[in-house]
Amino acid sequence: MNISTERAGIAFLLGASMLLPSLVFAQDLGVSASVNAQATTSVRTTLMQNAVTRAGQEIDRRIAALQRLNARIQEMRKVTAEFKQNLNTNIQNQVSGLTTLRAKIEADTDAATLKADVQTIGAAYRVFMLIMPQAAIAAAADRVVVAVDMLVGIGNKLQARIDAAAQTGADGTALKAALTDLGAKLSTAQTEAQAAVTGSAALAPDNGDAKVMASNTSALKAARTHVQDAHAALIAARKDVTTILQGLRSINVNATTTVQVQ
Amino acid sequence: MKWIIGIIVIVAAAGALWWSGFLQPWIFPQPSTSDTQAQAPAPQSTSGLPTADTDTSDSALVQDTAAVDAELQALGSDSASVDQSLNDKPVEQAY
Repeated sequence: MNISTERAGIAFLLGASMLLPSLVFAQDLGVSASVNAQATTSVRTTLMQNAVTRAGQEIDRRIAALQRLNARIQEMRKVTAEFKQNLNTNIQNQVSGLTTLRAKIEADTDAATLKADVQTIGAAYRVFMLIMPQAAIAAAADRVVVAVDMLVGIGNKLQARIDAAAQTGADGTALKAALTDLGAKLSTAQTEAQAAVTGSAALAPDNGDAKVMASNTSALKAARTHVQDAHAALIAARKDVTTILQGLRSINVNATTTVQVQ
Repeated sequence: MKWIIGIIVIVAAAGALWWSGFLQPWIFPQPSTSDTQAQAPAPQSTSGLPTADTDTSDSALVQDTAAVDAELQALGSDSASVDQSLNDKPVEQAY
């Protein structure tokens, strides 16, 4: 496997993964940003108070999840600062919308208005349920690319060590085979990560359409499988590294040092 | 008289050496090799590894593999987050 070719492929992956998720995060949660400050003279019933409490719990839960997501997005290393800033802005806007909705619901004293406001939480949830997996998948794919890049770097070093061993007359056939397998596993991880992003990033909210909802769910689950497959390929690649390090130690290329293998 | 001529010759010779730069290392000591090395920037890794791309030593590989292991562990957490997001359950609303 040509390592430099893989690196070029990785660069392609990064380029592709930068743009697609941003389209998704431009979606509107559907939360009204305006606060109806008009208070009626109606007295809240127990049912209404219960509705306000539950709505607040759900809104707080979503805000916390969005903020955790945003923190993770800011840790992504294979996307541009502009991309991260764009996501940050969109998420903050949505958090702001939810906060505004929460204030409106708490101020509602009319049962009909409260009911309408609470029902917007359910409508917005369909968008939330799309955005969260999309971003989580993008973050995982980003991590896969980071790991692939690092393992490519290790592969290059191991190649140099194997070449050095060959110059001393050692048989490096098995090590070269492991190195080739390492390259193949990294290529698989890269392909799976790209498939995860491609298959999930462009999905649009279902807007209540059951068929679209089912299609989105299916696509997101497929993307999750791609992430899992990429993870498995990276673990296999890491085992190849261990195999090569153990082989180099047995060849004892450098008798003055000890290779520590995990 | 001989003393005066001798002093003039010595001063002239010293001046010629100074002018030619021969005495510069003694007058203005040059930074040592180790100082130069200390000021040189450390080789950077373009692959995200904690060691330089050209460092193929055993110790470098130990650090590199440890860094990869940390990323793989974090990837496990990311993967769990994907699962969690797909299995999210909202708080049941009254309406």
